[in-house]
Amino acid sequence: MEFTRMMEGNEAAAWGAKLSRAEVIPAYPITPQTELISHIATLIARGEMKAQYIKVEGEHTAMAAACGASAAGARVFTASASQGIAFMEEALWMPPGRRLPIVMCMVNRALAPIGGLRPDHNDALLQRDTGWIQLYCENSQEVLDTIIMAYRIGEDRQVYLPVAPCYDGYFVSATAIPTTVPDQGEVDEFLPPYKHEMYSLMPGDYRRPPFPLNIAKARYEVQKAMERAKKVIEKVDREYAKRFGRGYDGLLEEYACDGVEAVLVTMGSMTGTARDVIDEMQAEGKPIGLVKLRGFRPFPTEELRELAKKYHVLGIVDRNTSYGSAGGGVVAMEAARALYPLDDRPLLLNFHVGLGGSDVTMRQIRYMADKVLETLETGKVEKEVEWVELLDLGEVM
Amino acid sequence: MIEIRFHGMGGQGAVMGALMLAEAAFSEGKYAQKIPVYGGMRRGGDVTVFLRLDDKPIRRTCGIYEPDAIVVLDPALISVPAVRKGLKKGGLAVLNDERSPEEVDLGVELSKLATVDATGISTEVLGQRAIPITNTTMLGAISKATGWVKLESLFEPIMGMFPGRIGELNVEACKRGYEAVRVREA
Repeated sequence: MEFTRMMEGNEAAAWGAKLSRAEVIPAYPITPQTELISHIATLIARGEMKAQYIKVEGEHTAMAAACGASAAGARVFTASASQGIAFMEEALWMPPGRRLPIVMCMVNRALAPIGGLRPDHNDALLQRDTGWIQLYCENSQEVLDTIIMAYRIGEDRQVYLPVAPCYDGYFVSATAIPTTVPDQGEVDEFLPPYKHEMYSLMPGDYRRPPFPLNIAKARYEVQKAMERAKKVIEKVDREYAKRFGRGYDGLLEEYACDGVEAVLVTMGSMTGTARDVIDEMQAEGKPIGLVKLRGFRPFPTEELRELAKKYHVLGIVDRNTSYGSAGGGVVAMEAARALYPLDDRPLLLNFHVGLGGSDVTMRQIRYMADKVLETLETGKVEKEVEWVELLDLGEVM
Repeated sequence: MIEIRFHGMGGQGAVMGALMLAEAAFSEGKYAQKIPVYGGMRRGGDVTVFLRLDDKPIRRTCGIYEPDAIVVLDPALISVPAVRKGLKKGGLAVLNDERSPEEVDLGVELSKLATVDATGISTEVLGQRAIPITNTTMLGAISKATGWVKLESLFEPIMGMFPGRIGELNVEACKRGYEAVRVREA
Protein backbone atom coordinates (compact mmCIF):
# COMPACT_ATOMS: atom_id res chain seq x y z
CA MET A 1 0.00 0.00 0.00
CA GLU A 2 1.04 3.56 -0.71
CA PHE A 3 2.01 5.55 2.37
CA THR A 4 3.49 8.95 3.20
CA ARG A 5 5.81 9.83 6.04
CA MET A 6 8.77 12.02 6.94
CA MET A 7 11.73 10.62 5.05
CA GLU A 8 15.30 11.61 4.29
CA GLY A 9 16.62 11.51 0.73
CA ASN A 10 18.83 8.51 1.45
CA GLU A 11 15.97 6.46 2.82
CA ALA A 12 13.80 7.50 -0.12
CA ALA A 13 16.55 6.24 -2.44
CA ALA A 14 16.63 2.89 -0.63
CA TRP A 15 12.86 2.62 -1.13
CA GLY A 16 13.37 3.45 -4.81
CA ALA A 17 15.84 0.57 -5.15
CA LYS A 18 13.60 -1.82 -3.21
CA LEU A 19 10.45 -0.96 -5.19
CA SER A 20 12.44 -1.35 -8.43
CA ARG A 21 13.33 -4.87 -7.25
CA ALA A 22 17.07 -4.33 -7.66
CA GLU A 23 18.68 -7.75 -7.33
CA VAL A 24 22.36 -7.03 -6.74
CA ILE A 25 23.79 -4.16 -4.68
CA PRO A 26 27.59 -3.92 -4.64
CA ALA A 27 28.43 -0.85 -2.56
CA TYR A 28 31.04 0.84 -0.42
CA PRO A 29 30.04 3.46 2.18
CA ILE A 30 31.01 7.12 1.98
CA THR A 31 29.45 10.23 3.54
CA PRO A 32 26.81 11.43 2.58
CA GLN A 33 25.73 8.20 0.83
CA THR A 34 26.27 5.89 3.85
CA GLU A 35 22.67 5.88 5.17
CA LEU A 36 21.39 4.90 1.74
CA ILE A 37 23.30 1.64 1.55
CA SER A 38 22.83 1.11 5.27
CA HIS A 39 19.03 1.26 4.77
CA ILE A 40 19.31 -1.24 1.89
CA ALA A 41 21.49 -3.58 3.96
CA THR A 42 18.89 -3.41 6.75
CA LEU A 43 16.02 -4.16 4.35
CA ILE A 44 17.90 -7.19 3.01
CA ALA A 45 18.87 -8.41 6.50
CA ARG A 46 15.23 -8.21 7.61
CA GLY A 47 14.16 -10.19 4.56
CA GLU A 48 12.09 -7.26 3.27
CA MET A 49 14.16 -6.92 0.10
CA LYS A 50 15.28 -9.86 -2.01
CA ALA A 51 18.72 -8.89 -3.22
CA GLN A 52 22.35 -9.88 -2.99
CA TYR A 53 24.35 -7.26 -1.11
CA ILE A 54 28.03 -7.46 -2.04
CA LYS A 55 30.45 -5.95 0.46
CA VAL A 56 33.47 -4.68 -1.45
CA GLU A 57 36.78 -3.13 -0.46
CA GLY A 58 36.29 0.07 -2.42
CA GLU A 59 34.26 1.95 -5.01
CA HIS A 60 36.28 0.71 -7.96
CA THR A 61 35.39 -2.86 -7.07
CA ALA A 62 31.78 -1.86 -6.45
CA MET A 63 31.47 -0.75 -10.06
CA ALA A 64 33.39 -3.78 -11.36
CA ALA A 65 31.02 -6.09 -9.47
CA ALA A 66 28.06 -4.05 -10.74
CA CYS A 67 29.25 -4.56 -14.33
CA GLY A 68 29.62 -8.30 -13.83
CA ALA A 69 26.21 -8.68 -12.22
CA SER A 70 24.51 -6.55 -14.87
CA ALA A 71 26.23 -8.44 -17.71
CA ALA A 72 25.00 -11.68 -16.12
CA GLY A 73 21.46 -10.34 -16.36
CA ALA A 74 20.69 -8.93 -12.90
CA ARG A 75 19.08 -5.58 -12.13
CA VAL A 76 21.84 -3.70 -10.30
CA PHE A 77 21.78 -0.72 -7.95
CA THR A 78 24.66 1.08 -6.28
CA ALA A 79 25.58 4.53 -5.02
CA SER A 80 28.58 6.65 -4.23
CA ALA A 81 29.72 10.22 -3.64
CA SER A 82 32.60 12.62 -4.08
CA GLN A 83 36.04 10.96 -3.82
CA GLY A 84 34.30 7.61 -4.07
CA ILE A 85 32.98 8.45 -7.53
CA ALA A 86 36.39 9.77 -8.51
CA PHE A 87 38.01 6.56 -7.32
CA MET A 88 35.41 4.55 -9.24
CA GLU A 89 35.93 6.49 -12.44
CA GLU A 90 38.14 3.99 -14.25
CA ALA A 91 35.35 1.42 -14.02
CA LEU A 92 32.57 3.90 -14.83
CA TRP A 93 33.51 3.87 -18.52
CA MET A 94 32.58 0.20 -18.86
CA PRO A 95 28.76 0.14 -18.47
CA PRO A 96 27.86 2.63 -21.25
CA GLY A 97 30.07 0.94 -23.85
CA ARG A 98 28.97 -2.51 -22.73
CA ARG A 99 25.38 -1.26 -22.66
CA LEU A 100 24.71 -2.22 -19.03
CA PRO A 101 21.66 -0.41 -17.60
CA ILE A 102 22.98 -0.12 -14.03
CA VAL A 103 21.43 2.56 -11.80
CA MET A 104 23.79 4.38 -9.46
CA CYS A 105 22.88 7.29 -7.21
CA MET A 106 25.49 10.01 -7.12
CA VAL A 107 24.98 11.71 -3.76
CA ASN A 108 26.71 14.97 -4.58
CA ARG A 109 29.51 16.09 -2.30
CA ALA A 110 32.42 18.44 -2.93
CA LEU A 111 35.78 16.96 -3.88
CA ALA A 112 39.16 17.48 -2.18
CA PRO A 113 40.88 19.41 -0.76
CA ILE A 114 39.42 20.62 2.57
CA GLY A 115 37.27 17.90 4.02
CA GLY A 116 33.96 19.44 3.06
CA LEU A 117 31.19 16.87 3.40
CA ARG A 118 28.53 19.04 1.84
CA PRO A 119 27.46 19.20 -1.79
CA ASP A 120 28.60 20.66 -5.02
CA HIS A 121 28.16 19.03 -8.42
CA ASN A 122 31.74 18.58 -9.53
CA ASP A 123 31.80 14.91 -8.47
CA ALA A 124 29.03 13.92 -10.89
CA LEU A 125 29.89 16.44 -13.61
CA LEU A 126 33.42 15.04 -13.62
CA GLN A 127 31.78 11.92 -15.15
CA ARG A 128 29.86 13.76 -17.84
CA ASP A 129 31.86 12.22 -20.70
CA THR A 130 31.53 8.59 -19.60
CA GLY A 131 28.13 7.92 -21.20
CA TRP A 132 26.03 7.75 -18.01
CA ILE A 133 22.65 9.45 -18.12
CA GLN A 134 22.52 12.06 -15.31
CA LEU A 135 19.27 13.29 -13.77
CA TYR A 136 19.48 15.88 -10.94
CA CYS A 137 16.81 15.67 -8.21
CA GLU A 138 15.47 18.42 -6.01
CA ASN A 139 14.15 16.52 -2.97
CA SER A 140 13.46 13.10 -1.41
CA GLN A 141 10.30 12.52 -3.40
CA GLU A 142 11.99 13.19 -6.71
CA VAL A 143 14.87 10.88 -5.74
CA LEU A 144 12.51 7.97 -5.07
CA ASP A 145 10.48 8.58 -8.23
CA THR A 146 13.57 9.10 -10.38
CA ILE A 147 15.18 5.80 -9.37
CA ILE A 148 12.09 3.87 -10.49
CA MET A 149 12.02 5.86 -13.73
CA ALA A 150 15.78 5.37 -14.18
CA TYR A 151 15.37 1.61 -14.65
CA ARG A 152 12.61 2.13 -17.21
CA ILE A 153 14.82 4.62 -19.08
CA GLY A 154 18.07 2.67 -18.89
CA GLU A 155 16.49 -0.67 -19.81
CA ASP A 156 14.50 0.74 -22.73
CA ARG A 157 15.63 -0.93 -25.99
CA GLN A 158 16.13 2.54 -27.47
CA VAL A 159 18.59 3.39 -24.72
CA TYR A 160 20.39 0.57 -22.87
CA LEU A 161 22.61 2.88 -20.88
CA PRO A 162 23.42 3.27 -17.17
CA VAL A 163 21.57 6.01 -15.31
CA ALA A 164 22.73 8.18 -12.40
CA PRO A 165 20.04 9.91 -10.34
CA CYS A 166 22.06 12.71 -8.67
CA TYR A 167 21.07 14.50 -5.47
CA ASP A 168 22.75 16.90 -3.08
CA GLY A 169 24.30 15.54 0.09
CA TYR A 170 22.71 16.89 3.31
CA PHE A 171 20.22 19.24 1.62
CA VAL A 172 18.54 16.19 0.08
CA SER A 173 20.33 13.10 1.46
CA ALA A 174 19.79 13.94 5.14
CA THR A 175 16.83 16.29 4.78
CA ALA A 176 13.49 14.82 5.76
CA ILE A 177 10.24 15.92 4.14
CA PRO A 178 6.91 14.11 3.80
CA THR A 179 7.59 11.53 1.08
CA THR A 180 5.13 9.21 -0.60
CA VAL A 181 6.16 5.59 -1.15
CA PRO A 182 4.07 4.09 -3.96
CA ASP A 183 2.43 0.68 -3.88
CA GLN A 184 4.70 -2.22 -4.94
CA GLY A 185 2.05 -3.66 -7.26
CA GLU A 186 1.72 -0.34 -9.07
CA VAL A 187 5.51 -0.10 -9.45
CA ASP A 188 5.63 -3.69 -10.77
CA GLU A 189 3.11 -2.77 -13.44
CA PHE A 190 5.09 0.34 -14.36
CA LEU A 191 8.47 -1.40 -14.31
CA PRO A 192 8.47 -4.96 -15.67
CA PRO A 193 11.32 -7.34 -14.77
CA TYR A 194 14.65 -6.71 -16.51
CA LYS A 195 15.10 -8.72 -19.69
CA HIS A 196 18.72 -9.00 -20.52
CA GLU A 197 19.28 -8.33 -24.22
CA MET A 198 22.67 -6.69 -24.31
CA TYR A 199 24.28 -8.85 -26.97
CA SER A 200 21.48 -8.41 -29.46
CA LEU A 201 22.06 -4.67 -29.39
CA MET A 202 25.80 -4.78 -29.99
CA PRO A 203 27.52 -4.40 -33.33
CA GLY A 204 29.30 -7.69 -33.94
CA ASP A 205 30.02 -10.13 -31.16
CA TYR A 206 30.70 -8.18 -28.01
CA ARG A 207 31.99 -11.07 -26.03
CA ARG A 208 35.26 -10.85 -27.93
CA PRO A 209 37.41 -7.73 -28.13
CA PRO A 210 36.07 -5.76 -31.09
CA PHE A 211 38.16 -4.71 -34.10
CA PRO A 212 39.27 -1.08 -34.08
CA LEU A 213 36.63 -0.19 -36.66
CA ASN A 214 33.91 -1.50 -34.37
CA ILE A 215 35.11 0.63 -31.46
CA ALA A 216 34.21 3.82 -33.29
CA LYS A 217 30.91 2.26 -34.32
CA ALA A 218 30.16 1.18 -30.74
CA ARG A 219 30.93 4.67 -29.45
CA TYR A 220 28.71 6.22 -32.08
CA GLU A 221 25.98 3.83 -30.94
CA VAL A 222 26.32 5.15 -27.38
CA GLN A 223 26.00 8.70 -28.70
CA LYS A 224 22.88 7.76 -30.67
CA ALA A 225 21.43 5.98 -27.64
CA MET A 226 22.04 9.13 -25.56
CA GLU A 227 20.18 11.19 -28.18
CA ARG A 228 17.27 8.74 -28.24
CA ALA A 229 17.20 8.79 -24.43
CA LYS A 230 15.78 12.34 -24.48
CA LYS A 231 12.46 11.20 -25.87
CA VAL A 232 12.46 8.13 -23.62
CA ILE A 233 13.07 10.24 -20.49
CA GLU A 234 10.11 12.44 -21.44
CA LYS A 235 7.86 9.50 -22.29
CA VAL A 236 8.69 7.63 -19.06
CA ASP A 237 8.13 10.82 -17.04
CA ARG A 238 4.69 11.34 -18.61
CA GLU A 239 3.72 7.73 -17.94
CA TYR A 240 4.95 7.97 -14.36
CA ALA A 241 2.95 11.17 -13.83
CA LYS A 242 -0.16 9.54 -15.24
CA ARG A 243 0.12 6.52 -12.96
CA PHE A 244 1.50 8.03 -9.76
CA GLY A 245 0.37 11.66 -10.03
CA ARG A 246 3.88 13.10 -9.88
CA GLY A 247 5.85 14.24 -12.93
CA TYR A 248 8.98 16.30 -13.41
CA ASP A 249 8.65 17.59 -17.00
CA GLY A 250 11.40 15.36 -18.42
CA LEU A 251 14.71 17.11 -18.97
CA LEU A 252 13.80 20.58 -17.75
CA GLU A 253 10.97 22.34 -15.98
CA GLU A 254 9.85 25.93 -16.48
CA TYR A 255 8.53 27.36 -13.21
CA ALA A 256 6.47 30.56 -13.00
CA CYS A 257 7.59 31.59 -16.47
CA ASP A 258 4.34 33.10 -17.77
CA GLY A 259 5.06 36.40 -19.44
CA VAL A 260 8.67 36.70 -18.27
CA GLU A 261 11.58 37.55 -20.53
CA ALA A 262 14.40 36.44 -18.25
CA VAL A 263 15.05 33.33 -16.18
CA LEU A 264 17.44 31.82 -13.68
CA VAL A 265 18.57 28.27 -14.51
CA THR A 266 19.25 26.01 -11.51
CA MET A 267 20.08 22.37 -10.86
CA GLY A 268 19.59 20.23 -7.74
CA SER A 269 18.33 21.19 -4.29
CA MET A 270 18.88 24.95 -4.73
CA THR A 271 15.88 24.87 -7.09
CA GLY A 272 13.50 24.58 -4.12
CA THR A 273 14.98 27.71 -2.55
CA ALA A 274 14.84 29.48 -5.92
CA ARG A 275 11.11 28.71 -6.24
CA ASP A 276 10.44 30.63 -3.00
CA VAL A 277 12.62 33.57 -4.10
CA ILE A 278 11.01 33.75 -7.57
CA ASP A 279 7.54 33.75 -6.00
CA GLU A 280 8.55 36.57 -3.64
CA MET A 281 9.99 38.61 -6.50
CA GLN A 282 6.97 38.12 -8.74
CA ALA A 283 4.76 39.24 -5.86
CA GLU A 284 6.85 42.42 -5.87
CA GLY A 285 6.15 42.79 -9.61
CA LYS A 286 9.60 41.66 -10.77
CA PRO A 287 9.14 39.58 -13.94
CA ILE A 288 11.63 36.74 -13.57
CA GLY A 289 11.08 33.01 -14.01
CA LEU A 290 12.93 29.83 -13.15
CA VAL A 291 14.16 26.92 -15.23
CA LYS A 292 15.13 23.75 -13.42
CA LEU A 293 17.64 21.69 -15.33
CA ARG A 294 16.91 18.07 -14.50
CA GLY A 295 18.71 16.24 -17.26
CA PHE A 296 22.34 17.13 -17.72
CA ARG A 297 23.14 13.98 -19.75
CA PRO A 298 21.65 13.88 -22.28
CA PHE A 299 21.87 17.69 -22.40
CA PRO A 300 18.55 19.31 -23.39
CA THR A 301 19.97 21.23 -26.36
CA GLU A 302 16.75 21.54 -28.36
CA GLU A 303 14.74 22.46 -25.26
CA LEU A 304 17.23 25.21 -24.41
CA ARG A 305 16.98 26.54 -27.98
CA GLU A 306 13.21 26.69 -27.53
CA LEU A 307 13.69 28.70 -24.32
CA ALA A 308 15.96 31.08 -26.22
CA LYS A 309 12.97 32.09 -28.37
CA LYS A 310 11.10 33.30 -25.28
CA TYR A 311 13.74 34.57 -22.87
CA HIS A 312 16.28 37.30 -23.64
CA VAL A 313 18.51 36.65 -20.63
CA LEU A 314 19.50 33.34 -19.05
CA GLY A 315 21.27 33.41 -15.67
CA ILE A 316 22.90 30.02 -15.29
CA VAL A 317 23.74 28.98 -11.76
CA ASP A 318 26.65 26.55 -11.57
CA ARG A 319 27.29 24.67 -8.33
CA ASN A 320 30.61 23.55 -9.83
CA THR A 321 33.60 25.06 -11.51
CA SER A 322 36.07 24.10 -14.20
CA TYR A 323 39.38 25.79 -13.47
CA GLY A 324 40.77 27.65 -16.49
CA SER A 325 37.76 26.86 -18.64
CA ALA A 326 36.57 28.87 -21.65
CA GLY A 327 34.37 30.69 -19.17
CA GLY A 328 32.63 29.70 -15.99
CA GLY A 329 30.94 26.51 -14.91
CA VAL A 330 30.19 23.29 -16.75
CA VAL A 331 26.46 23.94 -17.21
CA ALA A 332 27.04 27.43 -18.62
CA MET A 333 29.59 26.13 -21.11
CA GLU A 334 27.21 23.41 -22.31
CA ALA A 335 24.43 25.97 -22.62
CA ALA A 336 26.69 28.32 -24.60
CA ARG A 337 27.46 25.54 -27.07
CA ALA A 338 23.77 24.68 -27.37
CA LEU A 339 22.83 28.30 -28.06
CA TYR A 340 25.76 29.32 -30.26
CA PRO A 341 24.27 28.29 -33.65
CA LEU A 342 21.17 30.46 -33.10
CA ASP A 343 20.88 33.72 -35.04
CA ASP A 344 19.11 35.40 -32.17
CA ARG A 345 20.97 34.34 -29.04
CA PRO A 346 19.90 35.31 -25.53
CA LEU A 347 22.37 37.04 -23.22
CA LEU A 348 24.11 34.60 -20.89
CA LEU A 349 25.13 35.29 -17.30
CA ASN A 350 26.93 32.69 -15.24
CA PHE A 351 27.08 32.50 -11.46
CA HIS A 352 29.19 30.29 -9.25
CA VAL A 353 27.55 29.51 -5.96
CA GLY A 354 27.50 26.72 -3.36
CA LEU A 355 31.04 25.64 -4.20
CA GLY A 356 32.74 23.27 -1.81
CA GLY A 357 29.36 22.59 -0.24
CA SER A 358 28.50 25.99 1.15
CA ASP A 359 24.82 26.82 1.46
CA VAL A 360 22.97 28.53 -1.41
CA THR A 361 20.96 31.19 0.40
CA MET A 362 17.77 33.09 -0.48
CA ARG A 363 19.75 36.32 -0.56
CA GLN A 364 22.27 34.90 -3.02
CA ILE A 365 19.49 33.73 -5.31
CA ARG A 366 17.82 37.11 -5.12
CA TYR A 367 21.13 38.80 -5.97
CA MET A 368 21.50 36.62 -9.07
CA ALA A 369 17.90 37.15 -10.13
CA ASP A 370 18.32 40.92 -9.76
CA LYS A 371 21.44 40.79 -11.96
CA VAL A 372 19.48 38.91 -14.62
CA LEU A 373 16.74 41.57 -14.56
CA GLU A 374 19.31 44.38 -14.69
CA THR A 375 20.85 42.75 -17.75
CA LEU A 376 17.42 42.49 -19.37
CA GLU A 377 17.00 46.24 -18.86
CA THR A 378 20.42 47.39 -20.05
CA GLY A 379 20.87 44.74 -22.75
CA LYS A 380 24.52 44.45 -21.72
CA VAL A 381 26.35 41.69 -19.91
CA GLU A 382 28.41 43.44 -17.25
CA LYS A 383 30.14 40.32 -15.94
CA GLU A 384 30.15 37.01 -17.78
CA VAL A 385 31.03 34.95 -14.70
CA GLU A 386 30.47 35.98 -11.10
CA TRP A 387 31.52 34.16 -7.92
CA VAL A 388 28.57 35.07 -5.74
CA GLU A 389 30.05 33.63 -2.55
CA LEU A 390 32.87 36.16 -2.64
CA LEU A 391 30.38 39.03 -2.32
CA ASP A 392 29.26 40.43 1.00
CA LEU A 393 25.47 40.38 0.76
CA GLY A 394 25.06 41.43 4.39
CA GLU A 395 23.90 37.98 5.35
CA VAL A 396 23.84 36.76 8.96
CA MET A 397 25.82 33.52 8.59
CA MET B 1 6.20 29.14 7.99
CA ILE B 2 8.01 28.80 11.31
CA GLU B 3 11.78 28.46 11.03
CA ILE B 4 13.46 26.84 14.04
CA ARG B 5 17.11 26.20 14.75
CA PHE B 6 18.19 23.39 17.09
CA HIS B 7 21.58 23.50 18.79
CA GLY B 8 23.11 20.60 20.65
CA MET B 9 26.18 18.47 21.15
CA GLY B 10 26.64 15.27 19.17
CA GLY B 11 24.96 12.46 21.13
CA GLN B 12 22.24 14.59 22.76
CA GLY B 13 19.81 13.82 19.99
CA ALA B 14 19.31 17.21 18.31
CA VAL B 15 18.88 15.57 14.89
CA MET B 16 16.51 12.88 16.15
CA GLY B 17 14.67 15.41 18.34
CA ALA B 18 14.01 17.68 15.37
CA LEU B 19 12.89 14.68 13.32
CA MET B 20 10.48 13.49 16.01
CA LEU B 21 9.03 17.00 16.27
CA ALA B 22 8.67 17.07 12.46
CA GLU B 23 6.90 13.69 12.54
CA ALA B 24 4.54 14.89 15.28
CA ALA B 25 3.70 18.01 13.25
CA PHE B 26 3.20 15.90 10.11
CA SER B 27 0.84 13.59 12.01
CA GLU B 28 -1.24 16.67 12.87
CA GLY B 29 -1.57 17.50 9.16
CA LYS B 30 1.22 20.05 8.92
CA TYR B 31 4.17 20.02 6.53
CA ALA B 32 7.63 19.77 8.02
CA GLN B 33 11.25 19.69 6.92
CA LYS B 34 14.39 18.77 8.86
CA ILE B 35 17.90 19.60 7.62
CA PRO B 36 20.84 18.56 9.81
CA VAL B 37 24.18 20.32 9.60
CA TYR B 38 27.19 18.62 11.06
CA GLY B 39 30.66 17.63 10.05
CA GLY B 40 31.48 13.99 10.46
CA MET B 41 28.93 12.14 12.58
CA ARG B 42 30.48 11.98 16.01
CA ARG B 43 29.65 12.41 19.65
CA GLY B 44 30.68 15.61 21.38
CA GLY B 45 30.90 17.88 18.33
CA ASP B 46 28.44 20.75 17.98
CA VAL B 47 25.34 20.01 15.96
CA THR B 48 22.92 22.41 14.30
CA VAL B 49 19.60 21.29 12.85
CA PHE B 50 17.13 23.37 10.86
CA LEU B 51 13.43 22.63 11.25
CA ARG B 52 10.63 24.24 9.27
CA LEU B 53 6.89 23.86 9.93
CA ASP B 54 4.21 25.13 7.57
CA ASP B 55 0.66 24.59 6.33
CA LYS B 56 1.89 24.00 2.76
CA PRO B 57 4.75 21.98 1.24
CA ILE B 58 8.19 23.35 2.12
CA ARG B 59 10.44 23.88 -0.89
CA ARG B 60 13.45 25.95 0.20
CA THR B 61 16.45 23.83 1.20
CA CYS B 62 18.76 26.56 2.51
CA GLY B 63 19.92 26.97 6.09
CA ILE B 64 18.12 29.13 8.65
CA TYR B 65 20.07 32.28 9.52
CA GLU B 66 17.30 34.39 11.03
CA PRO B 67 15.24 31.87 12.99
CA ASP B 68 11.81 32.54 14.48
CA ALA B 69 12.87 30.26 17.32
CA ILE B 70 15.89 28.50 18.78
CA VAL B 71 16.01 25.31 20.82
CA VAL B 72 19.17 24.69 22.86
CA LEU B 73 19.78 21.16 24.14
CA ASP B 74 22.90 21.88 26.19
CA PRO B 75 23.28 24.61 28.87
CA ALA B 76 26.89 25.21 27.84
CA LEU B 77 25.77 26.39 24.41
CA ILE B 78 23.40 29.13 25.62
CA SER B 79 26.20 31.67 25.99
CA VAL B 80 27.75 30.81 22.60
CA PRO B 81 27.19 33.80 20.28
CA ALA B 82 26.59 31.59 17.21
CA VAL B 83 23.62 30.00 18.96
CA ARG B 84 21.64 33.23 19.41
CA LYS B 85 22.88 34.76 16.16
CA GLY B 86 20.14 36.08 13.91
CA LEU B 87 17.35 35.18 16.34
CA LYS B 88 14.42 37.38 15.34
CA LYS B 89 13.07 40.12 17.57
CA GLY B 90 9.73 38.84 18.82
CA GLY B 91 10.89 35.28 18.35
CA LEU B 92 11.13 32.61 20.98
CA ALA B 93 13.65 30.36 22.67
CA VAL B 94 13.38 27.05 24.53
CA LEU B 95 16.50 26.35 26.56
CA ASN B 96 17.91 23.49 28.58
CA ASP B 97 18.70 25.64 31.59
CA GLU B 98 18.32 25.22 35.38
CA ARG B 99 17.68 28.94 35.80
CA SER B 100 14.23 30.48 35.72
CA PRO B 101 13.46 32.32 32.47
CA GLU B 102 13.56 35.65 34.33
CA GLU B 103 17.27 35.09 34.98
CA VAL B 104 18.12 34.58 31.31
CA ASP B 105 18.85 37.38 28.83
CA LEU B 106 19.65 36.47 25.23
CA GLY B 107 20.16 40.11 24.26
CA VAL B 108 17.10 40.24 22.04
CA GLU B 109 13.45 40.97 22.82
CA LEU B 110 11.53 37.73 22.61
CA SER B 111 7.82 36.97 22.69
CA LYS B 112 8.53 33.92 24.81
CA LEU B 113 11.51 32.47 26.63
CA ALA B 114 11.22 29.02 28.16
CA THR B 115 13.63 27.10 30.37
CA VAL B 116 13.63 23.54 31.62
CA ASP B 117 16.31 21.53 33.44
CA ALA B 118 16.42 18.88 30.73
CA THR B 119 19.81 17.61 31.88
CA GLY B 120 18.44 16.96 35.38
CA ILE B 121 15.21 15.34 34.16
CA SER B 122 16.85 13.15 31.52
CA THR B 123 19.52 12.02 34.01
CA GLU B 124 16.81 11.09 36.51
CA VAL B 125 14.66 9.25 33.98
CA LEU B 126 17.21 7.82 31.53
CA GLY B 127 20.21 7.49 33.83
CA GLN B 128 23.61 9.11 34.19
CA ARG B 129 25.54 9.57 30.94
CA ALA B 130 28.70 11.38 29.83
CA ILE B 131 26.54 13.24 27.32
CA PRO B 132 22.95 13.44 28.64
CA ILE B 133 20.31 12.68 26.01
CA THR B 134 18.09 15.71 26.43
CA ASN B 135 16.06 15.68 23.22
CA THR B 136 12.87 13.98 24.40
CA THR B 137 12.66 16.11 27.56
CA MET B 138 13.07 19.21 25.40
CA LEU B 139 10.29 18.01 23.08
CA GLY B 140 7.84 17.99 25.96
CA ALA B 141 8.98 21.46 26.98
CA ILE B 142 8.61 22.70 23.40
CA SER B 143 5.08 21.34 23.16
CA LYS B 144 3.95 23.20 26.30
CA ALA B 145 5.87 26.40 25.64
CA THR B 146 5.06 26.84 21.95
CA GLY B 147 1.93 24.85 21.12
CA TRP B 148 3.50 23.79 17.79
CA VAL B 149 2.41 20.22 18.47
CA LYS B 150 0.26 18.49 21.05
CA LEU B 151 2.06 16.51 23.76
CA GLU B 152 0.29 13.27 22.72
CA SER B 153 1.44 13.69 19.10
CA LEU B 154 5.04 13.23 20.28
CA PHE B 155 4.53 9.78 21.80
CA GLU B 156 4.24 7.80 18.57
CA PRO B 157 7.35 9.33 16.98
CA ILE B 158 9.27 8.62 20.22
CA MET B 159 8.07 5.01 20.41
CA GLY B 160 8.81 4.62 16.69
CA MET B 161 12.36 5.78 17.24
CA PHE B 162 12.95 3.75 20.42
CA PRO B 163 10.63 0.73 20.60
CA GLY B 164 9.99 -0.96 23.97
CA ARG B 165 11.22 0.03 27.43
CA ILE B 166 13.62 2.75 26.21
CA GLY B 167 10.77 4.36 24.32
CA GLU B 168 8.56 4.31 27.40
CA LEU B 169 11.28 6.01 29.46
CA ASN B 170 11.67 8.65 26.77
CA VAL B 171 7.92 9.28 26.73
CA GLU B 172 8.19 9.70 30.52
CA ALA B 173 11.03 12.22 30.04
CA CYS B 174 8.91 14.03 27.47
CA LYS B 175 5.97 14.31 29.88
CA ARG B 176 8.29 15.52 32.66
CA GLY B 177 9.67 18.19 30.33
CA TYR B 178 6.12 19.30 29.53
CA GLU B 179 5.27 19.64 33.20
CA ALA B 180 8.50 21.27 34.32
CA VAL B 181 9.00 23.95 31.67
CA ARG B 182 8.78 27.56 32.84
CA VAL B 183 7.76 30.26 30.38
CA ARG B 184 8.30 34.00 30.45
CA GLU B 185 6.10 35.92 28.05
CA ALA B 186 6.82 39.43 26.81
